[in-house]
Amino acid sequence: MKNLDRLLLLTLLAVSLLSCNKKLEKENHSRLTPEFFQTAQGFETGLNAAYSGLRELYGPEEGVEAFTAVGTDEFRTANGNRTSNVANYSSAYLSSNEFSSKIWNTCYTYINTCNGLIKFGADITELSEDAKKQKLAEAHFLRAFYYFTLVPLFGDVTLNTEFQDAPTTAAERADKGTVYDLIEADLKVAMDGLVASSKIGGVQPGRATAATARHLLAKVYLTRAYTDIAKSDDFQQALNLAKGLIDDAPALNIGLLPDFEDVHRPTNEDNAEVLFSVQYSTDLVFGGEQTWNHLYVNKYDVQLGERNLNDGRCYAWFRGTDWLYNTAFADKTNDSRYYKTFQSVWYATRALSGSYTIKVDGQTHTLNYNFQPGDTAMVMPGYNMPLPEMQNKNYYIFTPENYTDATIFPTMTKYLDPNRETPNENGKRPIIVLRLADTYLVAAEAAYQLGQPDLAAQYINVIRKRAANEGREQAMEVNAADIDIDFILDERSRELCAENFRWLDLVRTGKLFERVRAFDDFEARNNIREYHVIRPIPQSQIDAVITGPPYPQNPGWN
Amino acid sequence: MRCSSIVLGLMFFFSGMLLANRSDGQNIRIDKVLLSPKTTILKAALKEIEEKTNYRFAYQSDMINSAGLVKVPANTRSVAETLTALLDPIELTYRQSGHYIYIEHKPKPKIVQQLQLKGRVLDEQGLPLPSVSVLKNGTSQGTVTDENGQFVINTVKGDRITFTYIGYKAQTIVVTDTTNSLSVQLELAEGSDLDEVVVVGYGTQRRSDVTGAISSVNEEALKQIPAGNIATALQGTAPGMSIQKPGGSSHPGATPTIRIRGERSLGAGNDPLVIVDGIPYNGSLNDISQDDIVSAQVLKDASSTAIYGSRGANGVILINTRRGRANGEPTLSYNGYAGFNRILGQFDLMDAEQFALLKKWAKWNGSSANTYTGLDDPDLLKDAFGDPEEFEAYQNGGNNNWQDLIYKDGLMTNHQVGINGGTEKTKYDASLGYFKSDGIYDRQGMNRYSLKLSIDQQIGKYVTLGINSLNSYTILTGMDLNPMDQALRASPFIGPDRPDGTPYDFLPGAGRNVWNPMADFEEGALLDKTTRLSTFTSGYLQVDLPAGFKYKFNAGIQINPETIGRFYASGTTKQLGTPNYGYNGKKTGYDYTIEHLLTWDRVLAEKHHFNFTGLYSIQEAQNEWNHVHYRNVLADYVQYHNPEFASDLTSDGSYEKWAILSYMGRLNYSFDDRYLLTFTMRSDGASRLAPGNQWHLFPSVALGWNMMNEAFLKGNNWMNTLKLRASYGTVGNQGIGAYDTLGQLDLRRYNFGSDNVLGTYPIRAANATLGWENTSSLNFGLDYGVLDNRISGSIEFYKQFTDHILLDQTLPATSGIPLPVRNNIGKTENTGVELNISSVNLKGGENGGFSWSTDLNIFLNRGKITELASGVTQDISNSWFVGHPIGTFFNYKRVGIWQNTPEDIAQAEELGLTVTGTNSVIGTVRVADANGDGRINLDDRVILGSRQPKFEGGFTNRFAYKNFDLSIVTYFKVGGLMKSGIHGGWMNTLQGIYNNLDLPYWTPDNMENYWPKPNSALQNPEFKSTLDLMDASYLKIRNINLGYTLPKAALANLGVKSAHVYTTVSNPFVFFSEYKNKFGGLDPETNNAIDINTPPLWSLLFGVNVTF
Repeated sequence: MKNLDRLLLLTLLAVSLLSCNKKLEKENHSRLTPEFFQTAQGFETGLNAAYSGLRELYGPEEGVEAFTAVGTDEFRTANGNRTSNVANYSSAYLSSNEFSSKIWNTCYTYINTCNGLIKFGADITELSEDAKKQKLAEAHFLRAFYYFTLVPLFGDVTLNTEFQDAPTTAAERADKGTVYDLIEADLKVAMDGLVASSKIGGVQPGRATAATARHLLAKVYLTRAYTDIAKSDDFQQALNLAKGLIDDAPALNIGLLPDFEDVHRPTNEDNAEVLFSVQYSTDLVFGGEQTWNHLYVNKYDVQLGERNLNDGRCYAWFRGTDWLYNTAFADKTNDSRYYKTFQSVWYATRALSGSYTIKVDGQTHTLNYNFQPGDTAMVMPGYNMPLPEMQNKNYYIFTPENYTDATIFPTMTKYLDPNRETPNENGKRPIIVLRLADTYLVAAEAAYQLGQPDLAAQYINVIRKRAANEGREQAMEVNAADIDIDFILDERSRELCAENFRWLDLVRTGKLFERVRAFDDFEARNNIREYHVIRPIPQSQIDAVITGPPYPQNPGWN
Repeated sequence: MRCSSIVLGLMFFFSGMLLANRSDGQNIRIDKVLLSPKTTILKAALKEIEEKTNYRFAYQSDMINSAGLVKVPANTRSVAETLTALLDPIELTYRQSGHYIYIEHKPKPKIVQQLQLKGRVLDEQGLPLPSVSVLKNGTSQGTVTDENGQFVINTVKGDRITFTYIGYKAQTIVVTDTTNSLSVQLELAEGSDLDEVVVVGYGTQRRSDVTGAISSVNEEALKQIPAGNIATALQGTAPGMSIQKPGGSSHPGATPTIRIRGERSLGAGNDPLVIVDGIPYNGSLNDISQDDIVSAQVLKDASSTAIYGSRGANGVILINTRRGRANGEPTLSYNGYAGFNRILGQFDLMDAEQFALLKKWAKWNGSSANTYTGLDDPDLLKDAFGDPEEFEAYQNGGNNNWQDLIYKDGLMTNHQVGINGGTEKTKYDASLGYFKSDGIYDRQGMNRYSLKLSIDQQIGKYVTLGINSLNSYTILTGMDLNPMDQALRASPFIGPDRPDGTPYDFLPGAGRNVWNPMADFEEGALLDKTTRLSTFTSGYLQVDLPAGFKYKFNAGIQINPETIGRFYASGTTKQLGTPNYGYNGKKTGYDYTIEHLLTWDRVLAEKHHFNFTGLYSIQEAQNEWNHVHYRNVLADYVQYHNPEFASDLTSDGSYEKWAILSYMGRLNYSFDDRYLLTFTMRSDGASRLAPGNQWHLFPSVALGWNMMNEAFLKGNNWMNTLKLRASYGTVGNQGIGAYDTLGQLDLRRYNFGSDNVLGTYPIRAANATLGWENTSSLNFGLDYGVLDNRISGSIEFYKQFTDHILLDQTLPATSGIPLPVRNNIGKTENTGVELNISSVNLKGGENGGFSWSTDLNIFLNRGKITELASGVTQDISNSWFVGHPIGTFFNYKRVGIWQNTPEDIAQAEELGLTVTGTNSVIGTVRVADANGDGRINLDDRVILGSRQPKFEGGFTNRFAYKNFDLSIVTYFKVGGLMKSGIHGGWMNTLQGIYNNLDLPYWTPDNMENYWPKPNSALQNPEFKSTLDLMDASYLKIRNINLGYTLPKAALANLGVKSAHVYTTVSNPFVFFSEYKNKFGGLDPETNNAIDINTPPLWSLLFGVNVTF
């Protein structure tokens, strides 16, 4: 018995004390650590992640659209929404607004990812030199893209070019000129290393190509050309690059689509005109979801009695200004783009009948509607129809005179996604970010600023003729005398409205304050102040810089 | 290296002890020695033996010198025989240890006769008193009395036996020859009893010997509050311990948040360590049946927690479950109750008329001027609705209260059958239990089946071993389901069904964003089930060694595999018409603790009592999780049972493993029961921390002075207890993720066209130097009892300094690292006072007259951050401010509403505020221009206060008359702020889209100065975050319990020993709450914020306790 005791005790001791120091060694099986970036697979997946970060900017409610589409002459807030304060420039638009921090945080996270790729990528031996060059070029492109998202919005920003793997609570703002230098250098690396175009060599949709980099660099030069740190040849460089890309387009198998309507046609996002897109797909696991399909949809469900897949989910966040509907798109005869950009007919999904009132030349009239599923239920013709034409129709007719602030207005259709399963579902379409039509307009703007209005007219006419209704090409043409910066901005509206350039276009050309005052017809025009031409540095950034000098806010914002 | 050398040392120590002390001297019996026969002095004889053998003698010189002459025997004999021959005649003896032989006086002939002492313990009225602790002083041997007050214990003459029972004065008897049948009558203590035995870390102590700050909660107090988990039952019972529902959750399976002496850590957690039957418990408190728990001790100061050094910084809760008793006859018992849970009230939402008016105001304020002619403009009403179907329902007089449809009473019931008994050598306790509590939302509930078994077995004279196994199978439903978000904002004009009788999917109104909440009640539509099989089994082996040594091997293992299954059909509030969704989660793992304990307990020279405890322990846990998510399950009835029939499967998992190694030594010394000293050293190594910083040494010391045992106080007749205590020590915290020292990449999914790809990117930086967070604390305590202990209690004062705080620091976005980084920076301080008074207000006296006693505890804690990283004084993004507590609120200061007066308009314009259009500030929340720069912006945020209450506490009143007993448990909290998610949520946007809380919102006429105007143009009112911060004070009647003990005479014939019936009502009343009285909330109880959740409950139960 006693011996047994002893044996038992010693065994227990021995068992529990064996190799105890080993117990304190970490055994990690579930977490990937940054060292993974040093492998070929890590490099590949890091690059994928750097692309996927674009989904945080292009697609969500809190994405870039609040800072690009509204608060301009094009779109205004319709129903109360997250962007209202920003869109209306109200006094509640402060540095704590969510859009500043969303864009800011996203860009810096993925800039660091790109920095990691650039740091470790060169030393990866498993990749062939060609593959490595190509992928590094993509990393450089994405870094430039993220920086070029930041600078035009925020001005001087922090410049990180090294991979940061140690925490810091200090930060400084670099002069925007040095940030532009990095963007320029990165895009040059990209142009050199990337595949020439998306339609050569089986490039996957969504990947950056040399064509993308060329276009973006043209835009970078054009943007910098207006600033106080402009270089003397910025406009020329912009023109050269844009012209070069336009001239090379046929050889690159890219070009403007013959029909403007096809550019944004659902399922056609990978078309020859697209230079860069953010990818979504119907794959529920990898495809992601975006909400931009909802933002511009009017409240047609009031008239139709319910929602449907084709007409979308009635967020009614953004409504075109009257200037956009009626002035920018005044020509609805020669120019096909109004009806290809805005919805004018809605079809019934339920049988409904009744009467409604409208105004014609300020006079109120009562009209009737009575429709069956499949019938026309509502029409917004886009012009002020004479009364007789509206009578004896069995559907709703709303002319521009009858648009309301929040309910009745034409839906902007570029993001609609009818290929969903339920009306409230989010969109699964890729979002087109850059396309060749913009290259023409960049070339035109640069040419105009270089004193070559005839060349500008030449580029603009390519765009306008493509947009012409059949047989109206001639009527669409403009000449050098027509060209000024306002005309270029108007043309950009017609071609690119809601494509997330507008606020940047107006700021670039110094026209934001003037045109919002002139063309907004809601509240932005009363509320906008001079300091609104730059976005506030997110308060979260300022609050979190707790060591070193305080992080400076933009002028007017504190 | 360091670790292994200590282990090696320890092994030698143990084995040396075993071999040396247990040796019976074989060599000395074999080794022969030949001496020349003669008569000589002893010293010479011994010297000769030393010369002829390898043995060496050790002795006290005067003992040998005074020994006189000895006779050396002839012939060769063994050393042993030789020594016996030499020493025996002169009353000396010897003891061998290795090569050394110690010469000692022969022990005085002692006739050690084992007495089997039987006896009976009676209460003050002469009735048998069951469950009295019977303990041999200075040992852990003991028993408890059975239902008849009888006990049996093995003793020897001279043993001192102490009888203790809660509420009675301890009594000690000395066993004499004549003691064989004993009758002990205990006297009522009327207050706390310093001789009560309390469980301390790694052992038990008489309360009078305790030097640390320890609060005890006994079985009686625990039984008063029937609940699903022990934490709920402990609320308001111990000073310094704050227990609150997390986020105000009323889910039956929600376990409360426990804070002991406030919060000190910013990033490593503030949860106390829970020890169940001596073994660290990492599982859910839901898995232990309350009926199996007999006491809980809360260790608060460094001295009492230091022995759990590594994990003791947030306090320790020791939970003890029932063990068998040596009472011969087995006792069979049944405890059961049944009743219902009911909502404390409904959230105050608008009815149809109120909401229609709100819609009109919202539309009015949210439209450009001149859009409508006035509030009565029919177009305004129509546009305010927007949705034609909702408008039609309004015109038809639709008025539906969705809450009426959602809530129902939930059943709450508990049954437990137990058997308890044993003999002197074998003791056992077993129980079988069932607990069920349904939520007031029928998708939520908790069921638990429990089985408990404990056996203590003595083998031979020296060895005791035992096993204790707590097992439960817990089913939680609806842990992730919450109907309130939809139900509280659903249109009040609309019912669940269309006019044609078919159910709605999206309800009309609210932009068709709100899904019919009743769709979730379809059978099988919404499933959420968590099942957990928990087994927590511990065993020990204790060996009594000579010379007061005891060795104990203690080990416990916990295995609690958990599976979660969820299925949300397409047409539910979870899926909103998108494809159905299924999920399976599975957790496996283990968690074990192994301890080697050596104790030595000796009284030297009557007055010096030493107790030494040495410990080596290892704790290790490994957990693995797997999750599978999928969509499009082909048929709803497959639910979550076969993902093969689904598409879009994704799966993820995780693995973690951590270990802590510990060495601990503790010395308790007391002199004459007057002066007490506890000294503890503990060294811990934690795998979670960075190599090089894994080990830390935690020392502590405590002193106690039992002034009652001093001559100058002895014999006074008004003071019964007076003890002063002081302690100082350091404890640690390493409660961070197992791999937080490593950097981390996160996963992103993306597609290039139809090619799906995985992405990884850095989200967390590594910290290769992460080390221990340490808390040093100073504690002063005073235990007192006066007037025959009718008034007794304790007062504690403490100060804690926490440094190297493990904190999660949010970095500026420009750092490129999105997730906060774990760091060891910063310091906090906590200062507090705890007061505890027990008083007998009315003595019942003989014959069950009316009696009344009160327990009151009040405590306050003042915490503050004293240092942050790099000497900064504020870290706004983390809401940390030097000089202010953790949980500080930093925001604009609300000063009212901008009124529609010329003065206000002028002032607003002066501040550059918008005063026209839909964004006009008139009628909105006015915040102070705190920095006076003439603008309202982020620089105007100020510190508004913190969660920290001014003080809190609880009081319990107990009344008894004849066979009736009544107790009322009250909890209160004064001061501090809370955040109301209800007021901050979707049902309070004042946008007129979703139904709204019924608040007196601003209109141009009413001059309301708190709630702003409705506005359809804003998703939420500006500065809404200033509106949901409220005073957190309240007083709550936790529980009222009325019981009746059936007369024994009436039960005797039924074979029933005792029977007690009771009814108890929980959570019936809340008083003095701003949240409730001013803002229409229901129950302010929360650890931080009230989340949007099913309403709080009250319950009414009827129960019975019977023993056979």
